Amino acid sequence: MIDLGRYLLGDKVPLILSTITSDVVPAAPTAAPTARIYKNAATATTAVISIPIKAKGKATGLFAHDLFLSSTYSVGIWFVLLKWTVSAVVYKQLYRFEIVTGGDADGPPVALKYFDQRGADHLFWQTEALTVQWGTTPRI
Amino acid sequence: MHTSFVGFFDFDGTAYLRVVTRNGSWVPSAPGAAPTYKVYVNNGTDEILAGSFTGPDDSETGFYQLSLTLSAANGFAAGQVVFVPIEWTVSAVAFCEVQVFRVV
Repeated sequence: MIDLGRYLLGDKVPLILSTITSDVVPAAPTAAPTARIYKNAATATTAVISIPIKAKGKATGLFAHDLFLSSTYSVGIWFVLLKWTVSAVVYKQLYRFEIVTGGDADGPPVALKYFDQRGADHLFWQTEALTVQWGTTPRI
Repeated sequence: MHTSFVGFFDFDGTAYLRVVTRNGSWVPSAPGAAPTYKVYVNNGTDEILAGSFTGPDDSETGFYQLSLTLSAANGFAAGQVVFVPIEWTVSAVAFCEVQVFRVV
């Protein structure tokens, strides 16, 4: 098991995987690896995602995904069971990470627009979670 | 034998551990019985707890879990380094993995 550390809601957890075989040789899996995500002692998944390939054509069996800690997730210990298949043999790798108190499940702003209007200045911003938020009279 | 550090857990909280049981070729495999564990703290030579993992979870071959209550009654205290050797057998061959965490 590999410990990926501590995170806040709104952070991204880097899930990086090399799909290796019994001989510890990187090999192309028959399909994209999947990540089955569990909280604490849960026996059922919170989420199941596919991990996309990284550096296609440059590295064999290298996959990566930034797991965004949206409102689907909460404070606690999380386990990520990564699965892939090579030559009909199923392999698994187990990661863990912790979400600690703090952060914002909407994540950071990824776009911002400023409007200078009579009576008040307005800011609109879109977050990583794709919510649109609004505020007036920004001050630094 | 594989050893891994699995993080920090609060005293009087719960430590959640999981393991994937494998054969000698690193392939996830169903063990002959649920993996067993022993708990040692710091440089102690006697285990303070022992038992078995539960599972397999979610119909995933070899995927087992354990919850430990980190209470004084169970022998835990803040500041301890905890060693958990986990043992299982596949086709009568014994395997072991050690998970290590710290109580804070």
